[in-house]
Amino acid sequence: MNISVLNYTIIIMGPAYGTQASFCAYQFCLSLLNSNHQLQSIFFYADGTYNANNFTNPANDEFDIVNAWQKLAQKYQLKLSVCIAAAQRRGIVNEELNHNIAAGFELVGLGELSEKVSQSDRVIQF
Amino acid sequence: MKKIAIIFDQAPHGNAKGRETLDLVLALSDINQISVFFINEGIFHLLKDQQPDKILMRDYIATFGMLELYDINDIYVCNESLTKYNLATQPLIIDAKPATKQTIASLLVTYDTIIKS
Repeated sequence: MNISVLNYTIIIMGPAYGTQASFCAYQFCLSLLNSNHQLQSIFFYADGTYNANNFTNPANDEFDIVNAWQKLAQKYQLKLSVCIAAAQRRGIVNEELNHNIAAGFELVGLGELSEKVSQSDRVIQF
Repeated sequence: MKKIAIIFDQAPHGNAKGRETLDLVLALSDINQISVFFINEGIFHLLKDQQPDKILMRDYIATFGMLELYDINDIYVCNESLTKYNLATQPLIIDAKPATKQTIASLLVTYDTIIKS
C-alpha cells in the first residue's frame, strides 16, 4: 500500500438538518479534495439519505447542504450514492411522475457500499 | 475484502439505528469479513421474546438469526454492559461471545474499518 495516497470512502448517516454530521462530512470531503488523497466514494445511508431530498429548503442565511453536495459532485465529477431502501422509507423517491431526489444523487443498493469499503484504504463515518 | 467491525450500541425499536445497522452487516458480508459487537444499550438487541409489533415497530430481531446463515460467527457482547443492566444470566437469541471492555478494545484495533450504529 502506498501510504502517501489513501483512498477514502465517506459514509454519511446524519440528516440534512438537525445534526452537524453531514456538514462535518462535507467539510472533510473538501479537505480531502484539496489534499493528495483520493475521495473514492460518498455514500448516504440511514438518516443521511435526507441529504438527497430536493424539498430541503433552508432559510437564506443558512448553509444549503443539499446544494453544496450537488456543486461538489459537479465540480469534482463525484458520484453521490444513496441507499435506495433507506431513502424510500424516508420518502425520498425517484419515480417517473413523482420524485424528490435532488439532481446529482443516485439511488443504489448496499452492495455498492460493500464493494467501495472493500476497495478503500480508509472509511470515515459521519 | 476488508475486516470490518460493526457495533450495535443503541437499544432497539426506539430508533431505526439497529435495524439499519443489521442491514449493513448482512450487505457488507458479501465480500468482506464481518465481526459484530454489542455494547452499552446495544445488548438489548440480544434479548429473547421481544414483541416489537405491539409498539407498532418491525420485528427485525428475528433477522439476527440470519447471521449464522451468512457465516458471521464472530459476535461479541460486552460483559460489563450485561452486568450493568442485570442481564448476565439471561439467555440470548444468538451465540455471542462475552468479552470484557478491555478485550473488545484490543480486538477493535485489529480491524480495517469500524462502523457504528
